[in-house]
Amino acid sequence: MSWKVAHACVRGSSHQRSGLPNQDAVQCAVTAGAQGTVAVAVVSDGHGSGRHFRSQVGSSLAVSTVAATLQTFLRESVSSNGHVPFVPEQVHELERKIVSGWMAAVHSDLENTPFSEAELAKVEKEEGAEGRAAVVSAPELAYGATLLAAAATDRVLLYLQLGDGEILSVNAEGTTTRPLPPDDRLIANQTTSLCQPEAWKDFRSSWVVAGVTTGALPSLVLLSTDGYANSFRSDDDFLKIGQDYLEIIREQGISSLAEELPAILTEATQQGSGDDITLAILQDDAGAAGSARVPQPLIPPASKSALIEQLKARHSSQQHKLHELATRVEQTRKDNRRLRNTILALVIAVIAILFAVFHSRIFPPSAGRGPLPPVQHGASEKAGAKPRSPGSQEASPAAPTDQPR
Amino acid sequence: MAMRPGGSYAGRPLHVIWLLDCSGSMAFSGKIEALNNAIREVIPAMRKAAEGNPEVQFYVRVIRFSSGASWHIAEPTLLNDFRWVDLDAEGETDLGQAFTLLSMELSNMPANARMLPPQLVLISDGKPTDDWKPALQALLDVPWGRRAVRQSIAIGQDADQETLRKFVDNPEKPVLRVDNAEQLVRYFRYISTSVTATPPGKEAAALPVESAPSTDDDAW
Repeated sequence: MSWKVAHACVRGSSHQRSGLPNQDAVQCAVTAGAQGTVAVAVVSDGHGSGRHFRSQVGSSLAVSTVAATLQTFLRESVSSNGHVPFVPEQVHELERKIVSGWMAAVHSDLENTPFSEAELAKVEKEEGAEGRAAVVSAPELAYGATLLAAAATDRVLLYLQLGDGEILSVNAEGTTTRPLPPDDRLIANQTTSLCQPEAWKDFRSSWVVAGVTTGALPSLVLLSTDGYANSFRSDDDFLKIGQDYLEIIREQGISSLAEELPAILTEATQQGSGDDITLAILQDDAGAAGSARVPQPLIPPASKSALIEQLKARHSSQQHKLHELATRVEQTRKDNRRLRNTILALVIAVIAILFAVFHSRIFPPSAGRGPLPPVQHGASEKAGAKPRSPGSQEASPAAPTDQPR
Repeated sequence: MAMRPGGSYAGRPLHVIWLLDCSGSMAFSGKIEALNNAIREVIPAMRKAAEGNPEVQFYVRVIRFSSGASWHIAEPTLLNDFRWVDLDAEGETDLGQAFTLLSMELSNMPANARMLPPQLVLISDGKPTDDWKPALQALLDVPWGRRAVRQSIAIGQDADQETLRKFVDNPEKPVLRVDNAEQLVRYFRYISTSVTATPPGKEAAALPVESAPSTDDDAW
């Protein structure tokens, strides 16, 4: 297994109109080491409202510090923990480390570039004296940003999220799911953030380990800022990107897709949310390649032989039924032939009788022939039959309309 | 070949809901006529402001309250489809019932990250005649009620500004008092266009400094 990455980050169409910068940031890296490939993808969305006036710096600091922290974490924990790459306590510690690392980077930036009066005056103009006071007392507010991250080795994949945005997991069949639980607080343009006190408490995280019982790692992991999901008419419209990106990558490769991503995301912001959009894609090279994929064992070997025996028995039973059916079909054909011959013989017999009875009418005697034998009239009189006349035809029992059924 | 992974794109919805006082006192001094006229002027101004913000779909609805409360326009209506039917005025000022009707509607809205915070605008000229306080509290307890942009306009000197202030519940957004038809149009238009013109993710900017209405112009 090896990982590939692609990403793009575009300025929102509404940001272009209002003069706001692109406040999203993204960083991806794939490195090879003694334990195999380590891949990380980190996305951050700087908040848009007035008091977060340095959020484009905040998101940039987030992706650079977190990408480095995650790579170190994965290498150290995978090499030391064997089958269980890490335990929850280690991940919680990682979350604290991420927040403190970002905070240190922010304060370093502040030391180099203190707030100007123009910046603070702008906050006051947009958000009032309360907004200005809030930023002065907690300067990290100005850098407020979200965080989405995925970090993977050959056999483990870790997801981390703080704030809004979407992480999607796509399996080899294209089924797309969210690996992290939803956070009901993230509505009405409000989000949890790196800039909040005790931000590590708001992290959502999970991880998967590839194995016989757990199955394979996903073929794709998609990380996007909320501007992407908000561009779609519905959640189903958004989730469809999982299957679509998988198919595109299988058809043309992730490098080719990477070239087209900016255009795709630009169209999305223009016709959708108007917000900045960032998308990072982690691709399991074997899984997303489809045919080249190494099949993962879905059932234990012990059950496998039993299943094969079951299938063989079922096959034998079905063969037997098929043979019986073929015999019955042949018998039916024979019966049909016999019936046909019988009907044919009956028809010939009826024709022969009719021919015999009506022979004289069909072939009347010619002038050279003698009169009919007188015995025919005599027979009729003996039976008491009335002489036939044209008027007697209506009462004739031979009339078809009067035949009882 | 242009690629478009995923399904259909769409702008984000933003619901605007007006709560309009139609009590008997609004029938005096041409107030209800002024309100009807103001709405006829506000809608085109909102449409124009929304043109600068094409990624948002603005839907407008109207609740009227007098003796009881009901939807005057119940369906979320896009600005371009909005047609105004005049209100008339008679009866009490059952603001609490209007809050209850609004709470029920907002509590049925999905907790959807796509949806922008709704804008709720309350316009009244008097004191509520029903038990409005628990109804307001219930409204503010609904997630979309709490996170909505709430604004209000007090018509004339008899309006209960304290009630309107509690509805807004934001010291940054004062209750606007209007004393004549021209002010009503100006303030209502300002409130309404601020939400359609402001990019999503930011609240309406602070109010511009308005000169205090002169006593000579007072009609209400």
